[in-house]
Amino acid sequence: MDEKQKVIVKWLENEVKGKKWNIYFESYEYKNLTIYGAGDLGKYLIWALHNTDISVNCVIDHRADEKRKFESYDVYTLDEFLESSIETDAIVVTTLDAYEDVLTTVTRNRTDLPVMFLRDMIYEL
Amino acid sequence: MIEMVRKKKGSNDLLLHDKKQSGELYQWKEKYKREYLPEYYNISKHQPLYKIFKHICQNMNIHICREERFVYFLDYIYLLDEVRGHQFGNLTPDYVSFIESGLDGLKITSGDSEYISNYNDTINSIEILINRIIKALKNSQTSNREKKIQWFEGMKTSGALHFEEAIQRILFVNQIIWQTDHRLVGLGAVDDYLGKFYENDVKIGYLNEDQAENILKDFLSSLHDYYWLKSNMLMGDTGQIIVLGRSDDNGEYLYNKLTLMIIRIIRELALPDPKALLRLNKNTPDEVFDAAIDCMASGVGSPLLSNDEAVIPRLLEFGIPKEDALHYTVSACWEPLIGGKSVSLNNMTTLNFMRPLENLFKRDKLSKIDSFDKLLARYEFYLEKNLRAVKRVIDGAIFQYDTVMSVFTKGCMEKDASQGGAEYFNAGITSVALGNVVDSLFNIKKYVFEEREYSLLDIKKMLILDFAEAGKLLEELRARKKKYGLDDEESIELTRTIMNMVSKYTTDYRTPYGGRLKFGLSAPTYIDAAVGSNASFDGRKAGEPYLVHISNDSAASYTQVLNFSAALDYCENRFNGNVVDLMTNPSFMADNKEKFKNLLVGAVNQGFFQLQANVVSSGILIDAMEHPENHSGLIVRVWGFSAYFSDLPDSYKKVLIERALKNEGKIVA
Amino acid sequence: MKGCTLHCPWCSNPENLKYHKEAYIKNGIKGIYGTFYEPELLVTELLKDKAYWNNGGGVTFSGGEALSHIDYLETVFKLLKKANINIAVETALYVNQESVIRSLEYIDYYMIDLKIIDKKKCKEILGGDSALYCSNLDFICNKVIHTNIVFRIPCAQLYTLEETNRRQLIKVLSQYKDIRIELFNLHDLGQSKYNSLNINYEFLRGNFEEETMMEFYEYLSEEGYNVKINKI
Repeated sequence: MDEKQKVIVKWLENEVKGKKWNIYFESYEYKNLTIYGAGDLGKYLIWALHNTDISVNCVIDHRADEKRKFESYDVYTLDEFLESSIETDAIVVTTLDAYEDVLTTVTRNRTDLPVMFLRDMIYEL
Repeated sequence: MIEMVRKKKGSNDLLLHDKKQSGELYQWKEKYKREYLPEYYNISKHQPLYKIFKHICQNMNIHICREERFVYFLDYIYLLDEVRGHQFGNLTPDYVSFIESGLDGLKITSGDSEYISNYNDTINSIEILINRIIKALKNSQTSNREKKIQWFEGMKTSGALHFEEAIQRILFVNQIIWQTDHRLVGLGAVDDYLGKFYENDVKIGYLNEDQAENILKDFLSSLHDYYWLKSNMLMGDTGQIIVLGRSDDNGEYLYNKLTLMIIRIIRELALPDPKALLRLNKNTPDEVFDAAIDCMASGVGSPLLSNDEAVIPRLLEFGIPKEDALHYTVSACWEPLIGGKSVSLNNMTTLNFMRPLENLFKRDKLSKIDSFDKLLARYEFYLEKNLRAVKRVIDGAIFQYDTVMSVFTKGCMEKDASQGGAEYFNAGITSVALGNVVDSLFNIKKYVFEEREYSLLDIKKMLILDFAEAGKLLEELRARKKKYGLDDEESIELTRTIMNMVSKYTTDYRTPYGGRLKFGLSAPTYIDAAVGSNASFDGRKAGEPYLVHISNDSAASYTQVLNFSAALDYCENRFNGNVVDLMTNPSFMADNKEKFKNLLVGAVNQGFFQLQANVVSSGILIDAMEHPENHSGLIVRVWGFSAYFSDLPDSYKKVLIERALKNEGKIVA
Repeated sequence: MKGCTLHCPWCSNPENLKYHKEAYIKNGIKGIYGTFYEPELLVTELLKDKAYWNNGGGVTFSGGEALSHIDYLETVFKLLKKANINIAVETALYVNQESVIRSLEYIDYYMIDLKIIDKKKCKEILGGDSALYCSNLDFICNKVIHTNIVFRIPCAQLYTLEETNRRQLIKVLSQYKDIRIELFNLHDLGQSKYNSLNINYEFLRGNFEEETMMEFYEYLSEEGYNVKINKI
């Protein structure tokens, strides 16, 4: 199984066991999230947070120039996001290979902005 | 290749081990099976274990050595490695029942279930193997042929009569367990269960001390066969541990001539494996300490020491009955285990204490943390999440239906070991990086909350950017005396606090099989777990190894770290191995044996849990790295095992060299 | 203990020569040599190791010159004695006799250095009064059972084992033939400490030869002394 398949299998296991992403984020007292990654995992996370108390404000993706909307949310590049005044409780990175780079860039520019990694958190629900 | 893999001892051990670890050997074997052993290939893919085992017993290569005292062989081609789930390993099988009663005594004679049928079928398969060995013996020119035939005949129906015969039975059980790919197979309390055979044989004039010593030498040499095959992640990590000495109900120390003999032989053979763990208590006599220190001083990496004064009370508190607690053995490295009755897996995963602290910096709103207490509270928050992940790993473990393990584990009369048949089916985890976390927290306390020189956001930046913009702070952190391992109240208190946190979230947990979870502070993965890690605020750069077990390379004195270890609280479920790792120079130990003995006597009374000594000099290690051909016999202690220095990857060699240099004061710790 | 009444050229503990705290730099990091402990706190710290002091173990006071701190140490000694702890002292005996007298009540074991005997050389090289030393030595050896004393001789080629001094040492030793002797080699473990204090000094150069130490050892053995070599 590749990395993405493992995440999906774990996600399915979480669903079957009734573990919810919104409950997970509530434990951090985070209400508003920015999703990094306009792909499958980003989409599933957005769906999972629909109709919960956790809101998604926008999406970040390196292909923002090609796709300015994703699941009805505005899409920005990371640089655009960091230069903006968009407030968020945390960025959730859903892509599997970008976390360290995103973390480093965000740390340099908006140090107090938490950056969370879906691949790690999926085991903690 | 087939000759190479079937050789007991050879110069290709490291090469074969590398091929095994990379998967290359497995690919070759699969191809070989498909081509030359199609029936076995098909059976191994589609049949349950007890049927594959039968085929193995019917067909595996029998290897009888002309000159060797014992019959002991493995056949890599017929190694059962179609696991289809989590196989049992890191255990000590029940040697005693087979020694005392033979196969007949192991059969289940009442009851009627599919399990019982499969179980007895497994016993029949073992009998098939015995008969094949007898036939091969009859056709061989092996030394003491008739005696060996008698031994194997006796195995079918009755108990062993003599010392040498009992050892042959140990080896036979041992080879079956290895052959069915149960890894890290311990030997248990050899001096205890062989003691009566030895005494009896000497009494009737069947054996004398010298003969017994030679027999034991051959025993240990046989165990060292197939070193590459038995070695797990690294060469030397075979788990072949012999437990010596013990306490009785009154706190008296029990040992016998075999205890001292085995320690002596381990020193003389100067092999990294098998290894010994010596149990100690307040009444351990001088001659046992003397033998142990002589052995440790030789640099062979054995014995590891286990303090019954600390271990047994913890086992009792955990709910283990006294009789079993007094007879504890250990799994591969140091984790207390009830040998022969337990299929508890004591090393199911590793708790990385640094992960919650990393996550705190990455995921938390740091500006909200305005005190050290709040920081600790947030650390606990992330630790709990980490532990949830650990429990999920344990929850997800699947165990293979394993009648071989059931035959050699007491108690599996109604249910297979994988279904909870054994008396003990707990789960254990090791841990890593606690020392680095404690030191990091103390530094954060000083720089952020006391001196207010930096904010948590500043620290976050330094850690994520691997100290790139930290200026002289990295050197300052590296030069600061480390707190973990010091016997001051603050260090002990913080360490206990974190251990309490782990127990809080694990002590009530039950595995899917109703077992409990235990953890320990010993850290086998101090290098591997650090790969890909971020920097930490104890002055460790990203990816650099974590601290080794309970140690403090910057502390000058052994008493500090022993006192520290003794002051920690191993109650509830915290007894899954807690090893103090001491670095010492060969000449220091050799010149100060009496003082070292005093140190150990004192340490037993203080209450350390377990201890191992790495007796190395930096000069020799450095030379061995540059000229391995001059130091082919150099043995070092890695995590819970010994290995030839030349067999280790460079990353491990470098850690040992650095620790030796720090110990000798040649570099700043 | 920090502070010494001598300044031996071969000293490997330069950080213990002065009586006050000193700043140092090691590998670019600043630090301070010397920490003050209230006597009670010191004893609390020491007693952490009590469990290891079976078989005659205990606390050894060294330095510097431990006996030059008798005012402070007497309080510590009293507390240790209350806890039944064995006390040893490593001393060069270059202190006033009153300090020696006061120590007698508490010290169970004396490790006494023998260095330079000639009065003039002792003053020039060590900064000490050898007459005072000899008087103290005599006093101790008359008051203390000889099995509770060991003589320690640093084998400094150019000084202690220099021919004239060697003869003078032997003359002193001959008065106490039943006292054990330990010879010890010089070593360079102190070099990094000199560097940390920015003291440009290589104290080992030409000042130690194994052969000379062995010769002295063999001579003493043949003369019937109980002598051993303590290799550091």
